Amino acid sequence: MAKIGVEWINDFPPPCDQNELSYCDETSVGFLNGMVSRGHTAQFNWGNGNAFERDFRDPAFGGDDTNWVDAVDFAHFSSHGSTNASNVFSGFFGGKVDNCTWTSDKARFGNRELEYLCIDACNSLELSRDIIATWQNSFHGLRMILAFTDLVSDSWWTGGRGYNFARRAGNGGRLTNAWLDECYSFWCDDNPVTMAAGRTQSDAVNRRDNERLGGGFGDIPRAEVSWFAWRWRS
Amino acid sequence: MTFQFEAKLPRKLPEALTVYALDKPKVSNASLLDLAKKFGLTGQGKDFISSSDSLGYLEGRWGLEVNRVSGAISYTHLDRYGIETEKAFDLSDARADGVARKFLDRAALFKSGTMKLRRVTHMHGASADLESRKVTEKLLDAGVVYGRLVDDQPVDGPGGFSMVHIDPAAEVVGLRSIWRPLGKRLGKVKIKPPEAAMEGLRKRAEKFRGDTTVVKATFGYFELGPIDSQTSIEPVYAFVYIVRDGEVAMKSAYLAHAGDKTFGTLLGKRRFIPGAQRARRQ
Repeated sequence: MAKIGVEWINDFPPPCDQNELSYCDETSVGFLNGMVSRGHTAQFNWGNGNAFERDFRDPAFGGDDTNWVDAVDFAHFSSHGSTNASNVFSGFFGGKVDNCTWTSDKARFGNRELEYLCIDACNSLELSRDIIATWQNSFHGLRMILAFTDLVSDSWWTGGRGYNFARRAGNGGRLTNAWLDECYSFWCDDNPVTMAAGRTQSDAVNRRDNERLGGGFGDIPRAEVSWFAWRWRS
Repeated sequence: MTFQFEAKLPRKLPEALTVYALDKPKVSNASLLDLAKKFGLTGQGKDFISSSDSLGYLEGRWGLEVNRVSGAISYTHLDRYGIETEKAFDLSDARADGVARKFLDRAALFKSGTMKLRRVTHMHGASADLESRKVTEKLLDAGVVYGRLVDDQPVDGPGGFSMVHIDPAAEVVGLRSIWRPLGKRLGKVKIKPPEAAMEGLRKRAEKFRGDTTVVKATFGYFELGPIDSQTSIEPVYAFVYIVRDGEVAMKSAYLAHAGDKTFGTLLGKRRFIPGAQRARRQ
């Protein structure tokens, strides 16, 4: 059974002020509930001011992800996001512990535990940028990132996607199919993307298409990651 | 701060529309077998998978699942849906539409004249090595989206559609559909002009920092997603908008009843309660 952790932010008071969001709790807690309903274990559920940037930052950069995001098998983050022209993703927090934003260049996932990371935030696997440049240094045993290109809706009507994905993922369904099916919205034009690492091209494509929670693929040591494969619907 | 409509509502709106009940779906082993036969399976399988929210059926390499709350259908070939093959998908949109329509016609899932092609989507696959970063990209399928029509009016929202997946061999390898059974007439509503709905959205936008752009504006019926209960279907004005504030943007939706009488709320309660959180030690 997998260990699950979620962090979500709807409220952004100063000094981390941004426009408020409304349903990040729905997507993250829905994901958590869906996974728990399939027998997996909730490790943490931090929302708003209790969600900390340092939970995502590697100790190599002074962070504490070893005790939080990198201490679970499957993590889900829901908030504002953006990827800049330098191909660095920023995820936004509502409290400054230690920073208001976590950035992909300070992420090293899987050097302890994390295998799968969902980022329910805008521009999180942004295909108009170089997604390999953005994320390659994060894969230290991490197998897959499940995220979005362009903007993703924050609305009640699409807020069930975290739960819908989790009930399939938690049941041993193919992760990419589950993410693309459940998070794609024709109505709101939400475009989900998944990205997997591999030793070779065929390995990366195989993992992207067939990876399942508790499936047969092992972790890939950082030095052996040579390829990435990604998939999306538009 | 600016507020602008990039998308426009239709100029001609009907004067009145009927509001219908949506029947609770009947989900049972027998109903799944009936559905399986419509899709061309034998219906002789014995493998059912029951959970609190869905009922599934397996026959050969096909999986069929129906959501107990909405009746949403998921039908997939377990080995072929979403799997990259040697051959890239190269069918034209018209051909993909033809294959999908033939499948839907044969299955007779929907009454004639109640669906309209909305878009042909594609699943894309790409890969690149770390050294050269040369990206190889391939189309993997077509997802042909048909929107529902009720009394010739479009149905918008996370439901009210059927998507048929066609693989590179021009065969149907999946279907996803959220199309609740239409029930009895509940009444007729006169259609209000859209100005009040647009003003409601403008007022909401006043609360945001940055520039708000309405990127989608529709009039029609509205159907919810797979896990939500819905007992009636009625006309709404629906808007999707984007707020850009420096490097950070957000996207959301706004709905307003279009009828002079309402039969249900458009916004449901929170589905997943996060629970009280004690302040965490920093």
